[in-house]
Amino acid sequence: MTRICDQTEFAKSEYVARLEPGGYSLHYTDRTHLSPTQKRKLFDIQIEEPPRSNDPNIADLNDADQYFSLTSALDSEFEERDKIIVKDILALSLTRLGLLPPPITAEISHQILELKKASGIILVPDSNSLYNGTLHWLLEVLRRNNVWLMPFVVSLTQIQQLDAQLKTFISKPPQVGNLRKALRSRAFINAGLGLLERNKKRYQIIELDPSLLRYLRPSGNASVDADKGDVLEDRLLIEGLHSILRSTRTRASQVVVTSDVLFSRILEAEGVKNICLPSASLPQEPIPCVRFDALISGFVGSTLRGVLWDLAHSFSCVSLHRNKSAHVELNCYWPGKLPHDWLGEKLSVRNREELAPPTSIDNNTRQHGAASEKPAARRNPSKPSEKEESKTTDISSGAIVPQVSLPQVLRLAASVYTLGKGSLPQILEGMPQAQRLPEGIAKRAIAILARANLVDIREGEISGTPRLDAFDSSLREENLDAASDALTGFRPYGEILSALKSRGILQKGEIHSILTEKLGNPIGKEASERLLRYLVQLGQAWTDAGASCDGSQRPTDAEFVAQFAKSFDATARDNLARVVDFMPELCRSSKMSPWSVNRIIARVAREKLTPYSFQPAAGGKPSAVDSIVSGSLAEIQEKPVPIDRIVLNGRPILTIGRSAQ
Amino acid sequence: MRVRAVRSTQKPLVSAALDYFWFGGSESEAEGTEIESSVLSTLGAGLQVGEWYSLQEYVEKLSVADWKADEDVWMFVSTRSTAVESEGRHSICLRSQTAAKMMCDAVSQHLLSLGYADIWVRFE
Repeated sequence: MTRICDQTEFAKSEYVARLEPGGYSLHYTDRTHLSPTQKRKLFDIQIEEPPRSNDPNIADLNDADQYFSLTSALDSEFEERDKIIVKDILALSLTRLGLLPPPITAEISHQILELKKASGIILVPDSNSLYNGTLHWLLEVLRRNNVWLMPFVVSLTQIQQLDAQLKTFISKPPQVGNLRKALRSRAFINAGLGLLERNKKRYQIIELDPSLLRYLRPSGNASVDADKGDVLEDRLLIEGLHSILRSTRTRASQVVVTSDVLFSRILEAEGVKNICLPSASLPQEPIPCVRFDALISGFVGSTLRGVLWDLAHSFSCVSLHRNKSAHVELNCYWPGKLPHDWLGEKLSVRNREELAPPTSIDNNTRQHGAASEKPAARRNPSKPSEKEESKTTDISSGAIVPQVSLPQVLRLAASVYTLGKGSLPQILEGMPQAQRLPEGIAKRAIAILARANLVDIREGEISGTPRLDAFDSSLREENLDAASDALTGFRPYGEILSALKSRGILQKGEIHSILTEKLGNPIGKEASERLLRYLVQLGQAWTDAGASCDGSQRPTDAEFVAQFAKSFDATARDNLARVVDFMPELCRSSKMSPWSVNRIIARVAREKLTPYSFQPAAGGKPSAVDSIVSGSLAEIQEKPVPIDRIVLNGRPILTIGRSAQ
Repeated sequence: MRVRAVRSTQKPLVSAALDYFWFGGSESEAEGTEIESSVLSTLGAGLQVGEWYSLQEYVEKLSVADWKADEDVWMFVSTRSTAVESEGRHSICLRSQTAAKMMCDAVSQHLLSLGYADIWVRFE
């Protein structure tokens, strides 16, 4: 089961207490710009330890943490521009941890040696120095002095803005272009707030006239010129500094800490004492886990636990691998993360045993799902065996087609996913009060999840299988095809999907007879008809004139472009087609659902549909009959799929044009 | 093992009580950076505990030191972590000579960067 740990619990845990010496690698995935199955390599790690011995001195050594070195080994899949960002974020993290020093000039050394003579020091950090490791380092250098921190309220406002932006990224399917903002934002938010939390007894926020906060650049920065925004922010900080210096009567040294050279020079020009500590860059050569720092006058460094912990707060989810299999994984996000988990900077930690090898619904797992429908005992495949049934009927429905809606099934799955495992009352208790299912409905939902191999039922306990992880990932990516594939393990669903594909169109009244014929048992009429909704909600069918049409075909890009042209020709007048006419025509002829048409158009519009123009326009209320499930298991939503418009980059397209040849 | 640096126009007496301007290593047992001073004798560089060396002489001696002579001797150093609270202080094991080299290199780099011509260094 996944374990939720704070720093102390993780430090005491056995997860990375003592690892076999040798080579490891460190990878990350971040749902803002990668799918959960895409893990990008960051470092090679070499762990060394003294030879085992009975010598009591050596035994002491065995109690100490292991020595290791990190070598930058960025995945070849990174684009060059992204490599620069990732290296920068790694360097900041290692500086915070003490593994890299800020590059110090002789002048800065003199400045710091002078500062160390002061009995009291007030450090006023700018926003960057809160998280880039320079302030972490300086606080260690000045650990024998009385130091007060006075960060600006502006820094906290920036953190709030970045957090809002990050949440937007997380709630949407991953996009490669999010990498820069996501990594920078997460590092800033977590490391900045972490530093303030650890120094909570010695800092005071500098307030500013709230009306001046309008000079702050919005996080989206689309509406304000970026350079102009920087200038106004810098001016805001400088004016705030002058006001604080004017109003403070103290014998303590007051020093602004910044990593921005221009800002430092302007402060110098305006007579404000400051230290400019540049941020470190990532070296190519191996970086030892300890180093001697002359200005700190001692050894600084970090354990491997510390490295994993800090990197997880920047990169979202990091994992340590040995021989291509994950040894431990730390994740910043998990379904149902509560406010106190954020406050406690908690992470979700899984060890080798808990990490399932495949995290996506790949061909193997599809086969596995199919294989599970081929029981050795030639029993009715849609129904549990008697032995299984005796174990499970007390917590799951025995009906061949349990009557329950797909969103209800998914809500229950979310609770199992969050808890890992538990009894039925515990699973129900884990659901938000407003969404808690009655026990009868919960049992039906469990029956469907169990038959789709998404949960296991053993000795009265329900636990999520690795396929449930993959199912959640599919939903997050809005990959409804994969989610539908996962559900075909529940045979009635698979049979209806198969019937739709072969017939092309299904009327509601036909469902019951199809299932009775296939499964050969008395089946509830209403329950079986409800399965049609599952197909629509998973993007495999769409509603046309009251009937359910096949929407499960997925043509190649070339086939789609050809079909697109035919449908355009069939519905356009004067090279202009209304989407409300075009979309049903395309869905009928291509046997795709409007959801999948929208997805493929979003992907190929720019490069492969160049003769066509998609001009956004304001329109009336969207006309939608169908809806799909969207979001993650924890935040499942039903999203309408309009038939009268295509949505490109979040903007509605009501007509499609074609340039006259 | 500790390193102390003073500024003086001439070589300080061994017994002289001078105000040092830089100090590296553990000031107390609690902070303990446990590099055994015996490491110095394994380097073959002629460095001795208690002897004052000019910064130039110190750097020259280090440049001829044999840092691999005794590489299988391990020790642990007490380190500080600057980012993670629960990791505050911890011990990490590493080879004695690696630890000594880290310390000596950092000291020479720092003292040279200050640009003073009158620095004297002593191992304690």
